[in-house]
Amino acid sequence: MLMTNNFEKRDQLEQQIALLLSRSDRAAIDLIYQNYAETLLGVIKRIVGSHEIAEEVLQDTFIKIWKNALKYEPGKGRLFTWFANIARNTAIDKVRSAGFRKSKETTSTENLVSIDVLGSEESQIADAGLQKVLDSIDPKYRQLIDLAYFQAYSQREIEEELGIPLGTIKTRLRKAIEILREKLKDDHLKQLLTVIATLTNLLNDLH
Amino acid sequence: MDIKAYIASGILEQYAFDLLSPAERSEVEANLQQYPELVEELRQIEYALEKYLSLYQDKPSPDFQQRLNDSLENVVPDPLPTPPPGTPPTRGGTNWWLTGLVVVALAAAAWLFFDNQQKDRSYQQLATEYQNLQLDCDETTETNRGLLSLLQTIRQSGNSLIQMRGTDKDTTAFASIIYNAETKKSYLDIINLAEPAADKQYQLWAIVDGTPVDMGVFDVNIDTSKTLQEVPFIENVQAFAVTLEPRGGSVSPTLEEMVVIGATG
Repeated sequence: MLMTNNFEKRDQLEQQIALLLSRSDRAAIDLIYQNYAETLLGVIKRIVGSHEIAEEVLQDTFIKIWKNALKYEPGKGRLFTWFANIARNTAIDKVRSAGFRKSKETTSTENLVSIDVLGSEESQIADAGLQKVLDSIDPKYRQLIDLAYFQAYSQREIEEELGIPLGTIKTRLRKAIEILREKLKDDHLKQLLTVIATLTNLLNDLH
Repeated sequence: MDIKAYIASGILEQYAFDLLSPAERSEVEANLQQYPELVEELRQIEYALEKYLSLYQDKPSPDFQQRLNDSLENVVPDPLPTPPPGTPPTRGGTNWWLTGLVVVALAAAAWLFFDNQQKDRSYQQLATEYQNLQLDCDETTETNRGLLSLLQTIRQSGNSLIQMRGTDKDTTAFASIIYNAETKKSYLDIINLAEPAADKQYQLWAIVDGTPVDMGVFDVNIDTSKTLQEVPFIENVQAFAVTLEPRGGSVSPTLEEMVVIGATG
C-alpha cells in the first residue's frame, strides 16, 4: 500500500468506503484494512511502543470503526482523519489504562506515552521519498506535530512541555502543516476540490 | 467573518488533530457548513496529516487479519439514534436521494472541470497559432517594404544597368551596378557571388581611362543578396570589376583574382 500524492484517488476510495459503511456492508472493513491498516498500526505503535500491544489496539480500533459505521459524517472531515483519530485515541486510552502501566512497570517509563519525541523512527519508515519529506521538516515543527498528534497534548500541556508560549504553538502548528502541504501542491486538483466543496456545501444547505 | 484570519489562527489544524473542546468543535463544524473555503482548507490540512502519518506505516503480523475478522464476527454497527417525532422517518430514503444527487453533482463537477481543461488547452493552441501567424505576417510585411524600396531604386529615371559577368574562375558569378548619372548615385547588386574565405574580401573597382579606381570592399552573406548596396559614384566609368583580395582590400587589383567584370555602354 503505497501512499501517493493522488488525493483524487484517495477521495474516491473514501467515498466508496463511506458508502459501504453507511450500508453496514462488511466489505468496508476489507477495504479499510487493505488501505489503512499499516498506517493506523504505525500511528498506534508510535504511541504504545510495542508491536504486540499495537495490534491489540488496532483490533479495538477496527471494532470501534465498525460499531460507529453509521456515525461518520463527511461534512465534518475526511474519513482517514476519522479512522486515525479513533486509532490515536484508542492507543492513548490504552497507555493511560491501569493494565498498561502495570505491564510497563518492569521497563519503567517516565512518560505515560511511550514515544520519544524525536529520533528512533528511522527504522520504521520504509519509503525513502517520504523519509526525505520528513527530514526536510525542521525538528521544532516535527516535535510539535508529534506532541500534538501522537500524545494529543493540549496546547496548555505543550506550552508546559516545550516552554513555548501558547500563541507561538498555534502558529507553529499551522506552519508545520503548511510545510507538509507544500510537498503536496497540485493546483488542478485544488480547483476541482473547491468545486466539489462548494457543491457539497450547497447540498448540505439543501439538507 | 474574516476567513483568512480564521484560517491563520490555526484552529482548523487543531480541529483535524482533534485537540479542541466539544464546544469549539461544534463551532468549527458550524463554520464548515457555512464557508466552502474552510472545507477546502481543512481538506488540505487533512491530506497533509494523512501523508505525515503514513510515514510511520508498519506491517501487521501475517495472522492478524484472521484474528481481526474473528473478533468482528459478532459486532454490528450501532444503530443511529431514532429521529425525534415530527421528522419524516425516511432518513434512508433521503440519504439515497442525497447520495444520488451528490454522485450526479460530483460527476457534473468532474465533467465541467475536465471539459474546461480541454477548452483551455484548445484555446491555448489557437492562441499560439494566431501568434505564429501574426509573426509570419509581420515578417512578410517587412520583406515587402524592403522589396518596394528596392524596386523604387531600380526604377529611378536615368538608371543604367551594368551587368558584371563571371570570369573563367567562376562563370556563374554575377553582379550588377545600377548607375545613375542624373542623381549621381550608384548601387551594387550582388546576385551570385560565393562567400569568400574568412581572410578574403571582395573589392569593387571602376575602370576610368584604363586605370582601376578603388570603390571599396564588401562582404557577401545571406542578407546582401536581398538588397542593393550604395557605392561611391564615379564619373566616366568604362567598366566595373570585382576582385577577391586579402581582407581589408588592396591598393591595386589582383587581376588573377578577378571574379566578375562588365563594361558600360
